[in-house]
Amino acid sequence: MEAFDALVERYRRGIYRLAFAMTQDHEVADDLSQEVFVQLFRRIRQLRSPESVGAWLRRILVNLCIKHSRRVRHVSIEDEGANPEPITTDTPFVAAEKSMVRDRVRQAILELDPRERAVVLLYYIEGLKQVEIADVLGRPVGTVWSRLSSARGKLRVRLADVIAGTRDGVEKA
Amino acid sequence: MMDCSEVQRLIPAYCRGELGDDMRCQVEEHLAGCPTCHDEVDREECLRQTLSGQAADDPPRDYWDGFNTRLRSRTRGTVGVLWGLGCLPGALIGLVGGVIISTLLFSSAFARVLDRIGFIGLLIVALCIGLALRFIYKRADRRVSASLGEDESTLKRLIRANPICRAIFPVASTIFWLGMAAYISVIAASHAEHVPIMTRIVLAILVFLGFAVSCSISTVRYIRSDGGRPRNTPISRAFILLAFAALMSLNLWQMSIDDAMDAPSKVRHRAESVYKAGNTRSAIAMLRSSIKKQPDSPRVLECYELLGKIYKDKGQPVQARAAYGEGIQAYERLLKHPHYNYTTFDRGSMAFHASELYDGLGNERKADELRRLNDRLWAEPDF
Repeated sequence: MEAFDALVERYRRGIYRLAFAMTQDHEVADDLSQEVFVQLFRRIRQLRSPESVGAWLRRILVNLCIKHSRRVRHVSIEDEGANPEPITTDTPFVAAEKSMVRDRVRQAILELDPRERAVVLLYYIEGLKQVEIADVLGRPVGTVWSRLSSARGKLRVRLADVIAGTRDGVEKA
Repeated sequence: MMDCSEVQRLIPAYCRGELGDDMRCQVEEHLAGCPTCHDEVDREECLRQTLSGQAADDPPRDYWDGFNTRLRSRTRGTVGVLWGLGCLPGALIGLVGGVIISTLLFSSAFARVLDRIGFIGLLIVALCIGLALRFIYKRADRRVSASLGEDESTLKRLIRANPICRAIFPVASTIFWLGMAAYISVIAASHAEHVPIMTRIVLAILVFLGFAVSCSISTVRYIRSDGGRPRNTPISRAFILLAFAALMSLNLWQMSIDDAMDAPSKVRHRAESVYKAGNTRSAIAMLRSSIKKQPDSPRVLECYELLGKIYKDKGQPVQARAAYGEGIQAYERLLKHPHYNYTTFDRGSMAFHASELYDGLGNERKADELRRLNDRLWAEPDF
């Protein structure tokens, strides 16, 4: 196995998932993930601390996603039909309900500013700490906090009914 | 005691269990007496649960099969551009290396070394150089392989080792092959001395281009791949074949001309043996036949010279003078309309045999003049 392939093999899954979460478009996520590794190939000699290669790749991806969002202002997830359907074992009714909730959440995330979207995804979905997000984005922790706080406020408003549903579920449980 | 703004800032970290014991106790102490902040914790928890269930779906199962192939085609394009920018210094290095190698190989020092070690010795030295290059390449390759461990620290070694592995073989092979191509084409061109000059130049250029282009294709292909061995493509093989075809045609052409030019000289030696054996008639017939067959060879003068000598020995002065006279006419005709590309050796040899012909006619002045010309040509460096 070649050296470059080893790096790609290790990070491609995480990079693709984040790209898809950022764009909600399989084709775009594929294109951006590929571009991340092309950038890695071009600039690998600039990498001074290999321990942070994962953060470095995420930073490249987030920057590419932000650039992409500037080109394509607003995309609704109803616009694309080519995304792969997740594999599920739920009953049709439960599956439809989950699918509706998922679409609402994704649409709400997609409507955020790309910088806020990146922070939300890295924090809530990737599970990174604020310090780690600051490292990925190359911004101070204070900036990460204010973006997270702003995004949180917007999401609470847009997803008020979904969050209420979740709260009911939690209380029932 | 913390105030509400401080606690609300810490709530996300609190919900994820990221706070230290001290900080967590302080937050919990505040929450016990503050319904607003407690409500904020509930809302954060709900939001976290809502969002954390939204991890992106995996792509279709066969998606990853094509991922590396597509990525490779994109990185190839990148390397192609980099190679395009870098090929000029590479070509210059190769040309300078080629000139240095050619100069060394043509130097008298190399000739002395070759005399001492012989052709087999030269092959052994070339083999040693090849093995040394292979050793360096293999060592760099092993460093890359050794770096493919699971821990992150090996990546550092990988990044350091990779450029060495990628750079050393193309540079070495470019210098070596361009040098060899220059050497082979110059040797072939100078060896084929009787082939017309323009044909020689064209064929020598084809020899050089064949090797150089083939080497470049292999080098580019090697750089575009992520390591491994340099491999030939059908196109690079076609260029090697072109180089060998040009080389062979140059050599075969030279050999056929050599055979045609040397034929009268060989006949002359055989005829002399036949004459000494007492068979004058056969010797004369052999010489006449050779003169008729190869009238354009500069060596034909040797046949006229022996013919005149035989007639003279037989006591036939008229025929002898006629033979010498025909020889001198042939000499003047050959000088005026040369059929072959004469070397200095050819011109010297012709002058020498023509002086013998003039001697036979008793023209001492002309014979001396041609002997002096022969001496002058002998003194020329490439004689």
